[in-house]
Amino acid sequence: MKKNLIVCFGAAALTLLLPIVVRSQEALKGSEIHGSMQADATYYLTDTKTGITDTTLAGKLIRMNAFTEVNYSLGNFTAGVRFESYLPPLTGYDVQYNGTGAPYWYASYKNDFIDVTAGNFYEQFGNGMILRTYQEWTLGYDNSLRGLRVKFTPYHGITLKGVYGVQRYYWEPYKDYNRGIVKGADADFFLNDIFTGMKDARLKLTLGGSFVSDYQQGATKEFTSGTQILTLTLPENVACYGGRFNLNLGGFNWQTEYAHKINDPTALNNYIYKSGNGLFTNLSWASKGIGLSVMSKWIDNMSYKSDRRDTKNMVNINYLPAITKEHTYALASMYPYSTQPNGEVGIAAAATFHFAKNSWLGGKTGLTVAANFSQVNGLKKTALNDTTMIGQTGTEGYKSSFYGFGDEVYYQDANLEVSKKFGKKWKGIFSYLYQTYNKLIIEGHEGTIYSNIGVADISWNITKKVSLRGEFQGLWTKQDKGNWVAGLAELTVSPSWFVSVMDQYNYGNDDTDQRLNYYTFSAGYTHHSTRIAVSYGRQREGIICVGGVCRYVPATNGFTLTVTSSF
Amino acid sequence: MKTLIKIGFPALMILVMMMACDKVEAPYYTSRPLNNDTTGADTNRRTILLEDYTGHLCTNCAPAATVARNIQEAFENKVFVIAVHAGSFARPVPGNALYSLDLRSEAGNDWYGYSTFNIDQNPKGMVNRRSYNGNISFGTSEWTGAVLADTALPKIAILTVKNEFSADSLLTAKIGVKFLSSYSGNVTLTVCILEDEIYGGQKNIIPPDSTPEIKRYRFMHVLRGSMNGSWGEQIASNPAAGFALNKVYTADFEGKGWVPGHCSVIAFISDAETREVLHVAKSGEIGL
Repeated sequence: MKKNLIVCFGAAALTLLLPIVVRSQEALKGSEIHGSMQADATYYLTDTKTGITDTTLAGKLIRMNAFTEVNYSLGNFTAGVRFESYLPPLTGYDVQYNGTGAPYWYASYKNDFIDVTAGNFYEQFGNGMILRTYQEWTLGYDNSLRGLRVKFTPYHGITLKGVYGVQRYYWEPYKDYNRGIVKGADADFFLNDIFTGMKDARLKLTLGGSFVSDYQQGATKEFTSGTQILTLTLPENVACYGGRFNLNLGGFNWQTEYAHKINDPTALNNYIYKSGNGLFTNLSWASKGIGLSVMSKWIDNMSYKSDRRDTKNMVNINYLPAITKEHTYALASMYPYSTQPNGEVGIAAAATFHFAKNSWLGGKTGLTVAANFSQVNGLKKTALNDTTMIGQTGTEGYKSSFYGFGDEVYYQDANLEVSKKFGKKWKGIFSYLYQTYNKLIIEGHEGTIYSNIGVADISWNITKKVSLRGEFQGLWTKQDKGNWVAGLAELTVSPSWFVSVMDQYNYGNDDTDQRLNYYTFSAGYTHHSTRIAVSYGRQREGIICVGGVCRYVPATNGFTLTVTSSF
Repeated sequence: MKTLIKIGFPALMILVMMMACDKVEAPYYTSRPLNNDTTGADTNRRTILLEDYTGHLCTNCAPAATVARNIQEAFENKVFVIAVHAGSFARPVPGNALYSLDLRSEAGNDWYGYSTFNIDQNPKGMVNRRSYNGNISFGTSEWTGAVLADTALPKIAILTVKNEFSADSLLTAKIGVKFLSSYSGNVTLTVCILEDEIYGGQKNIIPPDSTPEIKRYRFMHVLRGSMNGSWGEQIASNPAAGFALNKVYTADFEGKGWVPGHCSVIAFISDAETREVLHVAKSGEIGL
């Protein structure tokens, strides 16, 4: 009897709801769902030679980082969610990520005039020196804002943006002002669209300006200094503002952004009250076969976070652009540069020449030569007076001048890359690099490293589907862990399979017990937009950087499975 | 006009909602003597353990050690510091005599690697292994605030530490525990040996451009090891007020190179589950 009642009730409900479902299906016509996922799981092995023990692994030998993001759109409406799991996080990722949940979700509506997003969002004003929120999976970096974003396009060529929210801090929910509230506005004017007289002008000009304010509760903070307790008066509202332009004329492009931040005493700058300044400029020119660019930046006390206590890569409100080249070869990227937000000044220049086929230098197949140079120094800082140390808590900190180069080199990289095809089946890329890496400043220990690096990357297209690539690398230095050589062989069977073997050998280590091979065996299969890869090997300790933002990578040994997919 | 409204309204709305900045004028701080906070110290308050995770290759660790020492001196007999040398900054550098010291210990390594403590950089510290501003471990700028926050906590037990050091280099530590109030949970007792006056190389940085090495740095409160395991020994479960016990532990100094006259014993009781330190006491120098 009870069963019959349930069946009758179900049938009645279905009859009543069916028209609604059908109408809903009509209404949902044209909707789309897209998404992506990635899972990185590792089974760690202990390895006495690299000091990996059960203790360093905290007894957790299987670890996984994974995310799935799903976006739904219907007409002007979009909504999405990203689900993340760190069970527990892979070694080298902050243990505070341990957990699972949906830290990112949003709904947005957009038409010709307004674009509104509620929930989490990523946003960038100009080059990001005043505000940039983004996510970088390989770094475990996510500083998304949760709140409200509004973009207006009131007139052709004019974009106005407003953001209001709080930033992600691992899984910690925002409550009781436990971190700052970020408010910001940005205006962008593309003059060629605004003024009809400039519409067809060769000169293209964009002007922009931004203002951001961070409110963090807590107007005082106490320190001990000798036999005294100092109670600092803290600014609860810290503002950062600036302007920018982008000028384009033919093959020339010149973009510049200046940012200024008012007093912002934080754990990162040792609670000094100096205002911050930053200038980034990039001038480039490109023509057929030639590309030239010159970049420069000056950063003076420009860390800007929504939690003044944070000293890690979390809750950054702004992003300080990198001017150094990001290398991909294993040994060339052994000593990558990490932006120093407390102060640095740098220049960079790059040139690319392509010599056409059948030219004197190009030969039958053409030749490409790329040269790059960058150098970053510390700021020239002087003490405020004879009795105040540079950077002393509760003071202005120090005196500095516009583009005042300090004597200390933080990083220098001079490199040359030559790419050449040899017939139809062979191609080679040959690189030489000379790097100066101030490990003491960048990582906090062990002085400056001077290294010569050579790389030969040879590809052989055996058939249309099968290719073999080999890398031969060497790094020579008298400092740190001494000399290295590395080799890679990678066989690709298009479009689905690859298998590779790589080894990095630290043959020049002063400690003979540490003359280790860091070998990796990998294989992968790709099916449409899904890629599955497995690898086994030993990974050396180091840091990886993306755009000047870095993460420490501990030595590991084990099996790794990586699955990526998009739909 | 319509265009003006279209531009002006959103611009005004955005600007109004976010305009705020506080410019602080010098002097940026007020000061008061530490004695105001420490004299007449209430003996019914909990004592405080300040753990300073450090290493000789860490450039910011020497200033952090100074902060820890200042706090311990200011809060005399209320705050006790353990310098835990652990992690990559504490490793000896092969072939470099200046950094040949290995001040790491099994207990220090275990604490450093314990993920809940989240010691992911140096210098970092913990105050009674209690969360402060949402973090269980934090940088030096938080240490004073965390200590001040814990000075008001009530004392739940009396801890006594007495040592004997024999001619054959055997240290005997006698620990007395008496609970003044009941406690809900399992309680562990951890007894460690500290050594002062160890000299060796220490990286140091005085911001921004000076990067000296201190060739004869004086290491203090160095954790040499635990006498009863990294996480101590469970001594009580839901102890009632008045519950008391005595424990005796020994450690052989033979061949270890530790100078007894520079060593002391520090004992602390903790919640077995949260690891929160409930009380701490330290002996004088061991000596003979």
